[in-house]
Amino acid sequence: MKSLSGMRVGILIVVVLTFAASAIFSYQRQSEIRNHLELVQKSGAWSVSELEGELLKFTQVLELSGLGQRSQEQLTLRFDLLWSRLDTLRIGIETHAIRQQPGAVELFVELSQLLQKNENAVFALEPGDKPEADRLLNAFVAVQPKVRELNVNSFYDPYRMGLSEGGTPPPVSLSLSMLGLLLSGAALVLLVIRESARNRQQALHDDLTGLPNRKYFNALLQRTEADVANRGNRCGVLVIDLDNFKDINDTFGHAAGDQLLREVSQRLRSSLYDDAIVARLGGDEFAVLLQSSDDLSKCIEQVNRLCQRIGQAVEIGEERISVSASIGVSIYPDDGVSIRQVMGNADLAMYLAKRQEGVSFRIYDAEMSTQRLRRRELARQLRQAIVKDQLLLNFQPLVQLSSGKIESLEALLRWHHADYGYISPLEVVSIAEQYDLALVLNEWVIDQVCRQISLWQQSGLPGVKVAVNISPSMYSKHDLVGTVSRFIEQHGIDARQLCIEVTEDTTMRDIDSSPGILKALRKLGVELALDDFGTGYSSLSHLKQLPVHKLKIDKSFVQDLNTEPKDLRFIRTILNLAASMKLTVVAEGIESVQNLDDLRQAGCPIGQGYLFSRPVDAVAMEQLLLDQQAGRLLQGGDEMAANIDRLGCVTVYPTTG
Amino acid sequence: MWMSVRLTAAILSMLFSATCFAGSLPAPTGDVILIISGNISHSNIAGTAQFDRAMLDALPQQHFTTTSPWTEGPHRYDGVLLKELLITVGAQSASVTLKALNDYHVTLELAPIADYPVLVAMKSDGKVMRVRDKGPLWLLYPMTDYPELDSQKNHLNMIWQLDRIEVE
Repeated sequence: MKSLSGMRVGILIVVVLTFAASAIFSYQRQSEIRNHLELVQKSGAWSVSELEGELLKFTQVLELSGLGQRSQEQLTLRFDLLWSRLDTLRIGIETHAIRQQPGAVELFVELSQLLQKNENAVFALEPGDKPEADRLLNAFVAVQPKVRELNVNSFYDPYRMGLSEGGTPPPVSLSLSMLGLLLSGAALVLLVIRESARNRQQALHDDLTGLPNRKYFNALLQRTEADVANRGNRCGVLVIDLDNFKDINDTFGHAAGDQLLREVSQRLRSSLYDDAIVARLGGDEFAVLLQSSDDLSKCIEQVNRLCQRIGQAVEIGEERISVSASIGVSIYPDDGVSIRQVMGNADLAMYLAKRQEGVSFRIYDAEMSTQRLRRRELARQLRQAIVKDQLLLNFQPLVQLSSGKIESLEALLRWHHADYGYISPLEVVSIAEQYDLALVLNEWVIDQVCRQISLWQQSGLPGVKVAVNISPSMYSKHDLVGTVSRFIEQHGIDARQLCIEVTEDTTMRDIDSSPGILKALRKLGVELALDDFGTGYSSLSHLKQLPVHKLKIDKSFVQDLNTEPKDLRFIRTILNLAASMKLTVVAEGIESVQNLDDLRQAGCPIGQGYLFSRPVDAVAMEQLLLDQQAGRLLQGGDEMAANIDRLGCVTVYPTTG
Repeated sequence: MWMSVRLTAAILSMLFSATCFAGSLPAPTGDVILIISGNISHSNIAGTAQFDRAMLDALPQQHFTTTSPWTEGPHRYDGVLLKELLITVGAQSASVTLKALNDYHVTLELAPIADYPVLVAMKSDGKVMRVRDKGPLWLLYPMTDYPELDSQKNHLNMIWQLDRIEVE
């Protein structure tokens, strides 16, 4: 690449130098010839014209002398000047060429004789002697036409005269230099055209894949918009984003990442109809314009084929890398008034497709836009809600299944929005993640929890342990350890009273840094619980690295116990695994006494769920804690049944703890 | 740079000579054959320096023999050096315009000819040149002694029937 551009520069330099040299040479030759012509004209032909001029002047002065209007001196001066001019033509190398003109020498001899014959008469002419002046005048006027003729002939071909004088022949080098000028000029023009075409190509295409770039694609969309308006057809816009491309880059290196992008672009091109245009918008984002999508089923067929082909693993060197992508599809003009809007729709659909596992696509529908508007609005108001303390923490107890005593609490985020009503904590967290509010939100949560622990401590409820859920970007983008230690210190609580719940997915996302962060938290004295255990993809080796105290079995496993045939094997396996790793286990989502009995039988030490208590606000939770202090437990035998009645727990609410 | 040093030297020497030339120019008594005007410090009539033949004869005389494109064979020319003439009138200029009786004129850069005995010739082969012999004055370069001066460009400068010099 570099040597190629070096060669280009070399060629350019040669061409420019040739052009400059030819131009300078031509200019010099040009000036030389111009000077030469000037000299030839001034010296040779010019002498003849001077002769004619002097003759004319002399005859004029002669005529005026006849009228008494010129002095004798003036007349003789003109006579002498005429004489000298004639001598100049008769003698010397300069006027040699003139004398070669047919009849020239004869004319000069005739003129010379005329001058000699009339010399005395001219010198003797008295001003005012008109008859004598007229006689002389007639003699001189008579030769004027001949002089005129010689003059004209001499001027006709001054160049030829220059030659006969031994001047430079028409130089071959001049024609060569002109040729050089033309050729190098043409080469320059070609180079400029080539370069500008190359620049155009570079400006509108992506270097890595050779696909059109975002700029090209935007221009294409605009053209297409006009075409669609004219023809009344429709076109499909696809936005394609690779999943976890960053991980691939991090794991296999950028060279592999680049190769993967090239392979994907190849697959995109080959799995679509010929009139489809594939562009790389940047990074791992591609877009496709399906020109003719009148038949939506054909459009879907292409997308399906595309999904199939993209999903195949790519072999790069020794590695087989599995590829996954999310695709959003939107149709113009069905889905939007402008093609830009349709592009945005496809983008939105792609983001929603991201939530699905593996290669997946979503076709835009209007509901998506409504959802997006809702999220945007919520994001705007979430910021306000955090600042204005409009969020609320509820608490749900974790109960020791053997004793029925509250082991600890889980703090759960509650947000009641004036228009949208109750917003689930999952949605609050995902909005915070998307709109960069994670830090403020998590700080607020940790602050509130630490404050509450401290308050309970002051109101005679020591040692209450509370768990908080921390959103993923706190691990990847922010200083979680610093934040936690700051609030522990600020509220003067024992670090052991705080438990941090982390999901498997979060620990997997930053597989290198999360064990370090967790170890640092553990060092602070904070308890760590692995949330939603069993739903993620963590391997045993990864699990072994995580310095957690607790595993929280996902509620889906407990719910499975409600269907026949009941299968406790999975839970037993987890319990065994946990025991071997010296971890304690919490079963989430316990909703019935039967669940409780089953889990107790299996040996599960701790449980959480509506059976014991829904998430309640701090005041209600304080009451539950005080009740327990007074010996009234949440569960156990008849009391448990009583609790169910009292709390009216039915199982229709999704649990979030 | 080299040129301008030489030029300065030439001007200085002119100045030096001019100061040596005590008193102003005498007035011409015969027919005036040369008028020098313009930027000069010594003059005799109305700010111009006017010369008759006797005045020119009184200045240091030089001669050389040369061929020319306008003559047959070599001829001896006598006269005053242009340099000498310009010093005499106290001219301080890098160029002069020379004009002829027939109104032909040429502007001459002095620096390129500073080292050559460029002559304002009055005689050809010992004979006073008449107007018909390219007289009364003819600016001539010693082309035979200095062949490098024999160029077409210089040919244009060798003005005959010279009667006026304008110092720029």
